[in-house]
Amino acid sequence: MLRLQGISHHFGGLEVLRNIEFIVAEGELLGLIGPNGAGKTTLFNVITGFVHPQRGRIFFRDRDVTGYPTYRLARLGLVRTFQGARTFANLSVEDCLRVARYRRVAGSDRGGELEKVVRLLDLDKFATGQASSLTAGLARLLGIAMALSTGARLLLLDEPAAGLNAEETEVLQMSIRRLQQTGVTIVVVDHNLHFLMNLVSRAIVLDAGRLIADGPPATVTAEPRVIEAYIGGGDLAGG
Amino acid sequence: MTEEVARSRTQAAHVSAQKLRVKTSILPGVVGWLLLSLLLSVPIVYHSRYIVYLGTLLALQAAVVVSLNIVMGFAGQFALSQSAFFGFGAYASALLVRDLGLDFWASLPLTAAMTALLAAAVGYPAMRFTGGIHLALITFAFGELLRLLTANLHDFTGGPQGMQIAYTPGIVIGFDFGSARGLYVLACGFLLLCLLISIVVRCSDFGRALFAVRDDETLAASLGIDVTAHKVAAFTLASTLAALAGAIYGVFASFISPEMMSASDSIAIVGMLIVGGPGTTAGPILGTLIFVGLPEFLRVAKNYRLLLLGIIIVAMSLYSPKGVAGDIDRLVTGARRRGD
Repeated sequence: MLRLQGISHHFGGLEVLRNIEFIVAEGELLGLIGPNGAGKTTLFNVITGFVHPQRGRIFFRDRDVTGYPTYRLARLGLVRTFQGARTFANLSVEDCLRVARYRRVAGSDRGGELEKVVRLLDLDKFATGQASSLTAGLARLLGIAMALSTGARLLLLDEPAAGLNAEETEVLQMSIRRLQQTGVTIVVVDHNLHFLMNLVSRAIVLDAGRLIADGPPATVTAEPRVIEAYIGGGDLAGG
Repeated sequence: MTEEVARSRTQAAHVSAQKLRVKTSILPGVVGWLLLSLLLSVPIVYHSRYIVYLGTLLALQAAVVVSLNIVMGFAGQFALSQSAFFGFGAYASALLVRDLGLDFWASLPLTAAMTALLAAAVGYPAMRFTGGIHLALITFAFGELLRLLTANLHDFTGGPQGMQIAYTPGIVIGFDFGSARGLYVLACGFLLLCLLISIVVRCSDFGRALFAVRDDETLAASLGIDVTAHKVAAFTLASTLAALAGAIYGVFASFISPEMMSASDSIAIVGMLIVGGPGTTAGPILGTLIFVGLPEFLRVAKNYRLLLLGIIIVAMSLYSPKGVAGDIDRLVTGARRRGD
């Protein structure tokens, strides 16, 4: 589905990504973790075309998409969400979702399965309200619902659980699993390791711009290098 | 079982509440259209050359503000070239008639096509990498360039002295569009066309995408929307409509000059939109009435108008970012909506 080949990027003298290589298989649910400043967000930006890597190539569904602008990647089915609650503040919830469907991937209706997921996110009752009137948690769900509405084949979720309460987190986890069952490949970045470890089948760990571990969550979090990266496991315990 | 019943009940209540909301939100629109048609019919009923003249002027001015609303109100792009395209349209049409011997009506589609090409050529580089204040500066500079060019191409445009327009739209299907009242009907028809286009755009996927671009370009791009193409399309449409208004203005005023393209006019048009309410349907009309109508009726000397209107613009953008139309909407919908 997605293949990264020797991705390197630096801002000025600061090397944020160094020779990153990994493959995301079709239908996979992958977690991307790492301490603050590890380069997770930059990696997301590189994959989704907001930042073009100085070295390396990106392949999406066997097509070299290095240097593609964001909107073209989205139309191919590579879509991301953003940290925080990012919506079109002056549009109604309904219109936000309509905007997202406007340039959806061809043939991505998947038999109404998407609508079910959107309904699962429980946004129906707010449809006519303005997006800016939603609570932070709901606005975040709307952000995910919008990304889904594009008919994404590969969905990159940037800290989807941050700021959600326990109940909302559970709904989110359920939605992500259901989504994976519909055939969407998903990559999730999150600081909340509990959230991630219960969810994904494979985790990739970044530290200081390097890929330091790759494997099942239980194995990865037991690796000394990973524990060291998280400063003696403090973050691991804290989630 | 009981749970299901309760759920269907709440759903039914929700649906009826929604219907009610739709009904009450249609009301201001209906009142608005009635007021507009009443206003447009005044010069036809009331026999005064001055009123007909003023009505034509207001209708054309309002059409330009409606067109600006598409690029500035919908797409959020600060274009300062509206009067430049207004003047360009007037000259393009006049020169097509004078030099190519075309009919006034035949010159309109050609004028539109030429303007669209020019606007796309200016808009693409201006909106590809920049936006905000840069776009304002680039369109401002383009407008000044066009004005100076027109003023200096003596042989072609008649230079700073301007051009006399000797032709009229003539009689079409028994109606004399060349008469004062005919020109008034033409101007009103064009205003209604612009309003119709702006409403169609607003309700379309394209229009919603423009609003999305205005609110958050990055998010819009991440959802597959080609932000640059949408901005340029809005700019091109707005400029083309302004140019057609200019072509009609030419036959109405029978005289055009490079002064039509002056930057202060573009700024005034922006002011009208800000006062009326950017992004709303009624805003451009209200803004024009306040901006042009009020000083005309109050007979304020022209030099003081800009001063007066400058103060109004500052006050409106500070205290009422959604303009007069937004204020009315808030009054009508009252406590239902949260005030900004």
